[in-house]
Amino acid sequence: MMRSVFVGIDLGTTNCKVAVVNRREDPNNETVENLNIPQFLSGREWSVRGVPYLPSVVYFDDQAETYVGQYAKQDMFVRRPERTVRSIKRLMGRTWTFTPFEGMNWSPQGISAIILRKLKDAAEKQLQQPIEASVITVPASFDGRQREATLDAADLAGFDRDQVILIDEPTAAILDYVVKQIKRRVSYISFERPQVILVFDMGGGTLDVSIVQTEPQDNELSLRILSRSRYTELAGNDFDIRLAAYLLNIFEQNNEQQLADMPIRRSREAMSTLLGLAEDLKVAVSKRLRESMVYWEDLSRLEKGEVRISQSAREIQYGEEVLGQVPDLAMGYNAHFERIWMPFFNSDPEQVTTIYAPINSALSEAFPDAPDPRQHVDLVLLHGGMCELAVIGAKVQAYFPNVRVDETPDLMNSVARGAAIYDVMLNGKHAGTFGDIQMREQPIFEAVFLERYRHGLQELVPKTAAPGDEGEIPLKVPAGRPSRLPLSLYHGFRSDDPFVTLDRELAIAFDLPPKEGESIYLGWRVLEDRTIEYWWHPEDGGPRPLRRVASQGRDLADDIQDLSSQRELLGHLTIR
Amino acid sequence: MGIERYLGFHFTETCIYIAEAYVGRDNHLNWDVVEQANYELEPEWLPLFKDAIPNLYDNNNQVYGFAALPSIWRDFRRNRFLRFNLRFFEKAIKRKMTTEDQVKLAGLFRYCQVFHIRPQRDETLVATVVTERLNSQQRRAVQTLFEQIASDAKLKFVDVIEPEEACLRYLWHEDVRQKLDVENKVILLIHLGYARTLMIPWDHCQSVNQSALAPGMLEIDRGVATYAGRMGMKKTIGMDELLLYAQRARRAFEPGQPSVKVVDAELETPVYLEIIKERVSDIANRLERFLRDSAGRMNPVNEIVLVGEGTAFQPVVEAMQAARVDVPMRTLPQPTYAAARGAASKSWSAKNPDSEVR
Repeated sequence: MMRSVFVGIDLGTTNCKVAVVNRREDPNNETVENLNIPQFLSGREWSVRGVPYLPSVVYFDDQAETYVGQYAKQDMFVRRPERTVRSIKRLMGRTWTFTPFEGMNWSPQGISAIILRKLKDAAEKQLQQPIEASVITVPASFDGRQREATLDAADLAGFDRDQVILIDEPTAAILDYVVKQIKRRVSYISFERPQVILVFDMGGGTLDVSIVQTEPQDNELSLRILSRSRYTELAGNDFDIRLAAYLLNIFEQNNEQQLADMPIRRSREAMSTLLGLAEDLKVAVSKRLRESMVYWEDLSRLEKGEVRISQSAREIQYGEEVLGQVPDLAMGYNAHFERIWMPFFNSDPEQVTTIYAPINSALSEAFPDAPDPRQHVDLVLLHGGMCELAVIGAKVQAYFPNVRVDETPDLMNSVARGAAIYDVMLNGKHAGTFGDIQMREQPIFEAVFLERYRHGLQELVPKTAAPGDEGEIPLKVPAGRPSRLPLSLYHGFRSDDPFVTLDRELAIAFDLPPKEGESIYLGWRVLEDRTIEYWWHPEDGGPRPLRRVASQGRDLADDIQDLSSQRELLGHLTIR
Repeated sequence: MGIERYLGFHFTETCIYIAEAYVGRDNHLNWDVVEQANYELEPEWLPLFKDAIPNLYDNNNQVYGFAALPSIWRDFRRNRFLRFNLRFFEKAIKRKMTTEDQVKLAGLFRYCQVFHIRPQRDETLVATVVTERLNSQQRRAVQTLFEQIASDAKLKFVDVIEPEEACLRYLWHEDVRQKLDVENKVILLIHLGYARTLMIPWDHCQSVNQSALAPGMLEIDRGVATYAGRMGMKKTIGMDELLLYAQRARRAFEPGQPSVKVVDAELETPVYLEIIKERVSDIANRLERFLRDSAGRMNPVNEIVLVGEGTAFQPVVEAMQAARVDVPMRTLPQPTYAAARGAASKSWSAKNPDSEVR
C-alpha cells in the first residue's frame, strides 16, 4: 500500500529532530514540516506542544521510568549525572554498558532506542497513525558496525527494521537546500553544468564533510556523492569543553577556590554547570552576533573596534552570579573565543583535530590527483548548529577564498527535513524523485578488506559498490583441517591507508572440516541500507551463514542475547 | 554574487506577514512564505501565529516578535509593549518620531532577517511594505522613514503600498494558476482584512470606482472582547491584549466547538455567534449594497474573489455566501498572505520593470 506520511529523523548527538511530509490530504504535497516534541522542560514542567527538538539526553528516574529531553539535560544531568546519559551517538557500535541501577545494563543501542521511541511516540500522536517506517540520519563517517547498531536501535524502538533506511547527514542537508533552490529560475544550483558541492556539517557531536556532484539532465537534477570524510573526534562539544575550561579558569581566579579542592559531588555539579554555561554562552554570542548582523565579512570591522556588541541581560547575569566577571563580549569574541578555540583552526595538514582535517580527507578522496582539490569545489554548504557561530563560517570561507559559501535553509532542521524528502523519494508516488530531483545510488565509499595471513589486506568489497551489488572471493583452507576459520574484516579507503580500522570479526564454522588446500568462497552483498551481508559456501554447495565474532571474542549469539535483553528492559520502561 | 530577493511585508495591528516572490522554473512568479521559528509558542497561540510574526516589541527585555510574546500575558503594565501600527507610523507622518523609535523599527527588520528570512550573507533584500489606513501622502512619509532606517543595511525598500494594490497584484499573478481569466471579466476582489474589509472592483484589469469599505475582523474581535471584559474576568487586562485574545479565539474557531475561550472567560458557541452575528451580517449587507448601488454605474460583476485573514473564519465566509448576490464566489489559496505576496511582486517588478513574466 502506498504510504501517505513520510518521516525523517535526525538522530543527533546533542539534539534530535523529526520532519514529515504529510500527503494524506494532498498526494502531491511537497511541504516539509518540522514536528514539535512534547517533553518535560526544566523544572519538570510538561510542555504539551513541546519544542522542535529533543535533547539526546536520557535520565533514568527509577527502574521503570525514564525522562528524555530538556528536563534530563538541564536538571538531571547536573543533579544526578550518574543516572543520566548524553551524546550516546558517539558510542554507537561499541561495546559499552551504562548501569543506572544494579542489574540494569543498557547498551548504546538500547539508549538510542529509548530516544527513538520517544520521537516515534510524539510523531504518532501528532500524525494520529502508527509509524513503522522512517529515514534515520547517521554521520557520513559512520562505519558498517555503527550503522547496524543504529538499525538495531530502530528495531528496538518499534520500527520495522526492513522499512528503516539510513541516510548520511550531509546528504540529507544538501537535499533540503537543493529542493529549495531548484524551484527558482535563478538559483545557486545550475541546470546548465555539473557542480561540485562540499557540505560542511558540524553539529554538537560530529563533524562530517561530504562532496556531492550535481548532474543536470533533461531539466532534472541528479545528485551523486563523490566522497565523505573520515570519522573525526572534533565537534561542537569540544568547543564547549574548551570554553568551559576557560570559564573554570575565571571561576577559580574570582573565587580563589580550585575545583580540585571541592567535594567530588560539588565539583561534578560545578563542571556540569560550567559545560551548560559554555554551551549557552556560545549560543548567546552567536545569536547576538547575528542580531547585530555581523556576518563573516564584518568580523574584520569587529576586530578593529568599528562594530561593538552590547552584552545581553543573560550574559551579564552569568557574569555577576556565576563567574564574577566575564570580559566584554565584543572584545571577547576575537580576543578570547578565537584564542580558546585556536587549536581547532590550525591549518597544518598534520593536525587531525581541526575543522580542516575532514575537509582535506574528503577532498583528497574525491580528487586524488588534483594538486589543489579546493579548486574543483563550486559551492560550500554549511550546516549544523555550530555553523550558527560566525567564526566557523569565516574560517571555512577563508579556506575557500574564491568559492561561494552558503548555509542550508535551516541550520538546525535541514537534516531531518532532507531525511523526510529522501523518504518521499524512496517511497512516494514517483519513486526516486522529489520535485525535479533524483538521487543516484550511493556507493559505500569505504572498501572492505579481508586480512590474509602473511599477505596483508585483500580487497573484498570495492568502495564503489552500491546497493544491490554482490561478489565473492575464493579462500584456501589452511593446514590442520580446522573446525573454525576466523576472518577479520577491515574498512578504509585503500589497503595501504593508515586509518584502516577493524570492521568486524567473523568465523566460518565447518560441520565437517575440509581438506587442506580445498577452495571455499566468501561472498558479500550490499543491502538497500548500505550495510553489507556476508556468507560463505563450499566449492559445490549453497550459501551458508557466517558466525559474527565481536572484538572481545563474543559471537553473534551474545549480540542477539544483548538485543533481546534490551528489548525486555524497554518493555518494562515508561518513557516520558 | 548573491541573488536579489524580493520580499513583501504586510503590517497589521497584531501580525506581520512576510512573503517572498521569485521567478520559478515554470517562468511564472511564485511565492514562498517565510517560515516562522515560533519555538516558544504555547499551543493555543498557534492558530494565530503559525504563519505570522507577532507585531510586538517588549520595551523591558528589548526583544521582538516571538521573543516578546510570552511576556504579554504575564505583564500588562502600560507602555511595556510597542506595536508597529498606525499609531506608530503616525509619528513619522507628524514628524514626531524619535531616534529611539527609529532604532526600534530598524531592530524589527533586523530581527525579521536574522530569525525568519535568514538571507545568505551576500544577498540583497528588496522589500515593499503594505500598511493599512494610510493615504498616499502618509505612505510617502512612512517610506522615507523606512529608507532612513535601511540606509546601511542589506534591506532596500522600494515602496509602501496600500492593501488594494497589493491584493490586485496577487490576483493578477495568481490568475495564471487559478485560471480566473481576469483580463476578460469584471472581478470584485474582497479583502477581509483585520482593520477593515475592502471591496475592490476590477473591470478587465482596470480599476473602476473607489473601493467600498466594510468593517474588518477587528470589529468582530472588539465585540467579543467587550463582552468578555464585562463577564468579569479574573485577570485585569488591557483592551489591546484582550483584542489579541479575541483574535486568537477567532482564528482557532471551528464550527463544532462547544465554547470559545477569551482569556479566562468561556463563552458558549451560540453566545459567541450571537455576539458576532450583527457585525458579520454587516459585512455581508455591505456586499449586497455595493452590488446593488453599482448596478448601472459599472459593468456587472462576473465573479467575487475572497482574500484576507477573514476567509479563515467560517461564519464570515458563510454570511458572504448566503448574501443575496447571484455571482460565483471563490477564495484564493493562502488568502491571509494575499497582501504580503502582492507586495513581494511589487518588489520584484520594481527591479524587473521590463520583464514579461507573470
